[in-house]
Amino acid sequence: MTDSVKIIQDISLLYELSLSVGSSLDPGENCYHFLNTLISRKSLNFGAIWLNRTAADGTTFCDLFYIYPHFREAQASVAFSRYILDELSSKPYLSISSQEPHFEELLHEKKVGKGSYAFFKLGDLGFLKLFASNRPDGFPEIEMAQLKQVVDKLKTSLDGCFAHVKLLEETESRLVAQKALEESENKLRRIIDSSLDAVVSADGEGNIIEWNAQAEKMFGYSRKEALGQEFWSLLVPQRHWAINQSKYQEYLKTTDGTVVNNRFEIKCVRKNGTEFPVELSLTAEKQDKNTLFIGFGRDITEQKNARKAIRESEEKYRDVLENMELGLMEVDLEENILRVNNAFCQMLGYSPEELVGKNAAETFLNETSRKYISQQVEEREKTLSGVYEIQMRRKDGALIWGLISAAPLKNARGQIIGSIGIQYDLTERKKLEHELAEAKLVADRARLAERQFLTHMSHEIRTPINAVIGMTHLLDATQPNPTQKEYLNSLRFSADSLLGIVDNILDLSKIEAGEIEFEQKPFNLGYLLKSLLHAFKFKIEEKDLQFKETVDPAIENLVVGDPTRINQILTNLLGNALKFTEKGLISLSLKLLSKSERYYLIEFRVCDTGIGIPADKQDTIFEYFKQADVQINRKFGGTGLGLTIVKQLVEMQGGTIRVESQPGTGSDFIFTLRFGDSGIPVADQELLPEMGQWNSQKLTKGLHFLIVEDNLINQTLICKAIQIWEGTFEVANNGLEALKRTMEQRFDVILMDIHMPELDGCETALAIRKDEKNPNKNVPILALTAAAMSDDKRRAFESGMNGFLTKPISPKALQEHILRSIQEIQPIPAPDPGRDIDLADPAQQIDLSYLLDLSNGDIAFVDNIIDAFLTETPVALQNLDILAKQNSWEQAFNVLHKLKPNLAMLGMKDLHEQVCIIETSIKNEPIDADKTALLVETLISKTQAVLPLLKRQNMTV
Amino acid sequence: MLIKNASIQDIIQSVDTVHLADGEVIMLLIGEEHAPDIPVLIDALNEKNIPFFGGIFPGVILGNQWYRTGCILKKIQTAIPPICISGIASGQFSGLHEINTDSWNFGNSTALILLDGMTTNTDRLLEELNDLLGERCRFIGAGAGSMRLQRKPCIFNNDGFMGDAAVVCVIPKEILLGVRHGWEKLAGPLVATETKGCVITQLNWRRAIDVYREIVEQDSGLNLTRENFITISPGYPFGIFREKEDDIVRDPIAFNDNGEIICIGEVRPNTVLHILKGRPDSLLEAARKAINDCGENSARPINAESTFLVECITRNMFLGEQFVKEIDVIRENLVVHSEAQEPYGVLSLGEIASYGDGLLELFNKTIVVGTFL
Repeated sequence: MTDSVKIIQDISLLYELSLSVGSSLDPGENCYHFLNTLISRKSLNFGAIWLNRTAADGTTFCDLFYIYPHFREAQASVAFSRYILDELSSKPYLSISSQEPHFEELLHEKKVGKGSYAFFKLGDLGFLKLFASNRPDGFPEIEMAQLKQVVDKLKTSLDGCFAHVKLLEETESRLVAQKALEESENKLRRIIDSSLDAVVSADGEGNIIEWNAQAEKMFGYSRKEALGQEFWSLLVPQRHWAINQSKYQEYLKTTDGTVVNNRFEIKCVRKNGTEFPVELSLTAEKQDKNTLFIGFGRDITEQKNARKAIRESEEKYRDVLENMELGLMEVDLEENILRVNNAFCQMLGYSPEELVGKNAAETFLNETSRKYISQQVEEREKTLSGVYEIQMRRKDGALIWGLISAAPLKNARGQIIGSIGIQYDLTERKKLEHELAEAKLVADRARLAERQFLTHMSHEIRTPINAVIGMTHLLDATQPNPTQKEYLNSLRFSADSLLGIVDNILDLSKIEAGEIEFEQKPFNLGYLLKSLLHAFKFKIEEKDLQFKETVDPAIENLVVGDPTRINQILTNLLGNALKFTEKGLISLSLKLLSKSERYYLIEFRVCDTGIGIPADKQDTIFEYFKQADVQINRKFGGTGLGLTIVKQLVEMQGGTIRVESQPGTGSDFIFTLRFGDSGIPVADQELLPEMGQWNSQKLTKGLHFLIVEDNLINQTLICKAIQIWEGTFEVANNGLEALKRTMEQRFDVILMDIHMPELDGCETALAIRKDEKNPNKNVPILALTAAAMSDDKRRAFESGMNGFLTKPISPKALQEHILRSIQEIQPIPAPDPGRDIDLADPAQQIDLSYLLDLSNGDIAFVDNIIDAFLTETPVALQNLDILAKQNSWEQAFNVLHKLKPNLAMLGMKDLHEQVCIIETSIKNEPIDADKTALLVETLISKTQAVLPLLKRQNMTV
Repeated sequence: MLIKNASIQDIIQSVDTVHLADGEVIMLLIGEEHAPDIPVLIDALNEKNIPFFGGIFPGVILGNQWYRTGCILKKIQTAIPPICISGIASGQFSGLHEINTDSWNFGNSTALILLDGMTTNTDRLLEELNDLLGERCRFIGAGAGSMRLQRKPCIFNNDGFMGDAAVVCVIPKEILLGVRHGWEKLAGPLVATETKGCVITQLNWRRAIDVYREIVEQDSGLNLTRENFITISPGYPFGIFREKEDDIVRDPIAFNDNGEIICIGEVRPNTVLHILKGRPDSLLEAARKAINDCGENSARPINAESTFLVECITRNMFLGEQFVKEIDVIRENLVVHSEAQEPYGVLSLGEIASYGDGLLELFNKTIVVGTFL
């Protein structure tokens, strides 16, 4: 290689190396770029930058700052070879090969074998250390000289980098310190400003140099206004200036005084001139030659006022306690008396000295009271208050009653240290109570005697009056003359009235004695009203009055209550209305006010257009023996007890009654009552009279029933139905009772509840069926059950019962079942026992609705028709039978033609149809005699089967 | 072992014949032509619980032959399980710090690196590996990939088939290295006055392509165009100047509209470069020097246990039919008594070695010979 090429190569390489220096202000990055390039281009093993450090003892240490490649790093800090350091102090660079002494001293890196080190001085910073295994005899001088140029640049660059780093660090630490100082100052300012005390400091001259937010608030001067002012002339009333100033001076002179390092109260003045008390703590701090005074002031106006208020309140409280008429005693936990007031001492006849320190229980309580009190003390310990009555013994031995209100007594820390009690002397009241109780006993006895007297007297009076009335009837039968008749009527009227009065008095005495009991049973209010109407019908017609009754249709079900008493109330009110009304209208209306799940609230209103009641009398008419006017009694009679009884009856059933009236216009008596809801629809019950009027009624009329049922409501319902059907019945409340009854007499039908205690329905039925001696062995038994369980049904039939009904029982369904079972058990004997008679459902073969419609429900008419049918038909059937056998079809046709409308009228559709078929058959040419004869035969047998059903009804007509 | 037909079935069959002791793994060096479906191969080997790693290369070498197809299978003794490093281009180097040297009780070892030859930021990875392993290891390695210079997965191990990745396998044996290229300075020195990673923007403060073109056209008498660049430029690589050593070669592979030249491997700003030129003789001579470097202190021929050879694909292209001579040069300097002693290796996209006791570098157009004694 020519020299020039070599030079160009060297220059190029130095150029590349130079440019790799100073690539970054970060010293580490700077070193990396340089060493990376240097090691690669010069084919070195590693390069390192070491920095000088002089220890406290003067030893020079070298710290490894950067090495490339990094894995070569072995030691980070060494006391470097003296030889090298000495050499470098006089030379800019040095190369040592592994063949030379001192080489071993320099091995501070990993994997160093044979080769040469090169050291380049980096000014005062330290040095650059290179290693090349491919330079066994040291780095050539020319190479070292070339590299020195680049290393010098590196040194300058690193100086700059380190200066930059140092500057950055200094700036940063300065910023940190500045920030810390600012924060500290801000914190102090915040502390001073947030102080609840006014903080004021003053210099040796007494001039204010610190003034916090609270001081601004307390004195009214802003910080700006206060700073620099002499503090006493600004804050203290003028009259105290001199003393303040002298004390200040005194302290400065002697550093001794009463105010500094003390807390005291002083009078201050605000900007607005008002004076106020301040609690001030003052400290002084010597700074160089100056003294700094710092005061912490607190406005204590409120505390002073509060203390004063508490003191006054305490005095007042003490006065109240001492002077009140209630006794006061405080005791400790052992019941030792701590304090008593005058009233308490007077109550017990002791002086305060005699009580304080004594044990309360031992001093004035008897054994019973002590036990009671110890219980109360336990309650006190649970910090509970209590009020109780106890007996106490006075000093003179007399017993007194005290009402005590006690509460736990606590100390300032909230611990219970005893109890405090306020006593009220109950002795007088107890005495009065006792007297009252005795008086009541006397009064009760008197009342009982009175009632017994009344009962007795009523009975005594009734007996002769009944005799009188009886006599009037007997006399009536002796054909008296008109005058005598008139006297008799008067006599009977007076006797009836007297009897009414006695009855009323008896009722009233029963009411007052609380002896009236109210029934709870389902009934139909509408029906009750209709009955009333019947009762009053005659009297209403007599007086030329109109009567109107309305029932709210919303009352859908039977109500549960006492129909007798409702009847009594309404009878009384209607009686009054009739009594005081000459013409016009009397009405009775029922309105449903509200309906809940279980109750009806119903308003009853009885209105008349009678004489009316003046407003001022309306309140008194319900009182005993009160009528609106004495004149009324004379004119209309009456005891004045009726409305009293009504009111009592209404109220005893939880209702209210009132009157709305205007004299001359009329009166409205309105009462409201609450009834239970039976759940039984009125509609069902109303079917009874309708059915009863006709159709099936006739079929069940006169039957004798045994009702085996443990439920009262069901009993009532079934009984009612049977009454309506005009049947008779006996009731057995359980199976055993039923067995007994069935042995005594024969019934037509037995209605048997299944679920009963002791002997249930199935067991009872089985017992009846099995007993040969039981007259009811073959009598139809119908099962009644609330649950339609198929198991119940199976058991019922297995035990020999004939039918099965599920509750709630519809009277209609019940009747249908009864009829069916009668037919099944007692088939109506047919005229010809050999014939097969179709009696599948005879009840259905009769339908009287046509006749009822035709006659507009005229039962008598229908009865007549049935009678006629029963008379004529057997004859007609007999004739028909003969004519058919004679093949006299034309005549037979005539008989049939006459029979046909009768069958239609009575709703016997099947038979009617049968007649039509026979008629057609007869008219056929040629006639099929055999077939027609058979048809006639069937018709006759079927009709005969129905006749007994009609007969049964007819028998009771 | 060479598996000429590198089908999955054949590879598996061959693997089945190998007995693996504790700490032994399989290395598979596969020629890119007719390479098997690597994910399927991975699944098949994982099913057999075989620890393995490998790469796809432009070619593979065994004995005195090289092959575009086929697979070299080698059983490797490892000091630590092979480590896979991914995310090289981004500097993430995932997996790098799984290498834990704390508990090592091996003496001088060798780190064998297979690396995606088409990824960037490899200098930084090599620095990191040097810092981590340099104290105990020498390095040898090869850039894997396709000679068509496409970026695609080329590195694999039990965890998968990856691009932008490297596998590092530490072998507890010392290696002797020879690193030579034999390319001679044609022109220079030039200063790469502006560069960006693998891209040289300016040479001597001028557009890089203008300077390069002048020199190459003058020497070759050809017009350098975008189209013929890839065929001409392998004959005229850049050399990064190093005193006392061969230059570090950088292969120019293309230039762009801005006249910037793209290389395999990084070129730092202000790097002093030469434009190099090769002669078959000098290249073969370099091979001889390389094998000589390996056995400086041993008798001739070298009785190595095994010899790993990393040959730049461009040397193969440049030497053509003479390339086998280069392999022969290596082989004839070795004692070969068994297949295990036959030299084996790859045709690579970039060669890796620690040069003597010096830095760990990525080379181009170089032959790296490593002998385990």
